[in-house]
Amino acid sequence: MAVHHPDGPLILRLREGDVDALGELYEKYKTSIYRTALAITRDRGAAEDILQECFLRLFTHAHRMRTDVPLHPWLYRVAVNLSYTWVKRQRRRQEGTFDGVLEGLVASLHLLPEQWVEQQETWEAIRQAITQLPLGHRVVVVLFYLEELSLKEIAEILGIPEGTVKSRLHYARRFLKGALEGRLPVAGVVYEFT
Amino acid sequence: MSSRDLSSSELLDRMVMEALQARFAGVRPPSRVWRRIRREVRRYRTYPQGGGRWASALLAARVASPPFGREEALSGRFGLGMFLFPDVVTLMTLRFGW
Repeated sequence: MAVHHPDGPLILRLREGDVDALGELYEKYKTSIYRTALAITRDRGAAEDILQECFLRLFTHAHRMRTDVPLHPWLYRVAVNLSYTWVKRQRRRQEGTFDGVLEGLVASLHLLPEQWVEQQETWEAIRQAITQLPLGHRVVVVLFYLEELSLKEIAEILGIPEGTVKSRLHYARRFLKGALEGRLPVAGVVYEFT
Repeated sequence: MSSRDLSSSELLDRMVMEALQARFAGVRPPSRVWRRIRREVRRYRTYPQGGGRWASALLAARVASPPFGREEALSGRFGLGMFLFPDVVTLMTLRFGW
């Protein structure tokens, strides 16, 4: 008999149509799925729709879900695939108008104003550079740096070899390094990305 | 550990992580998403045959819309609701105006 993962009993309840079980899983995973979709699409409306879609699919596909493995790789996979589709079809995205407000709210209060401005500019430069990466690389960067998933987990989610994840990350780092030239301390330092 | 203790590759890693987490780590989905999910699940249980069209309809509706701001997003979402569940009642509403 298969050993249940802690999510397993909830999936079994989902199969019975238990909406409360869906609610428990939603509470557990909503934030990570939402921010992953938001970081890839950079569109709040799309991220909300993707989050909704992930959990609707979970509800309708509960009978196919395994109860002995963690659920989050499957949720990430659905979210990433939907984000892929959305970004590919969206030729020109419009940045959310509330980005600046949000960043103001999370700003470090201990910094001097000029340091704060400089930090914001650097972070924005990094985020802009990330959006210029090929989509497959951007997804790896988001899962690695934002979600702090391992290379193995990312490979499993994306259905690609671990070596491919590693090479995408290597390319992304090299690209970001180039894009941030002048913002990183360089004195006597040789960049190695191996 | 100060940034001086880090190699440049570690520093780059840290900067990328900070940049993404400063922007996204604090975000939470609005509560309306769960309300929408609950509503759609109720509809699905009533008309399960309509549920399979969720994904394609969702993406088609989103993609068909021009770049939008918040107000347009709201109106788009209401329009999207019409696409999500082409059950009998919705079809009759659309087609015959019942």
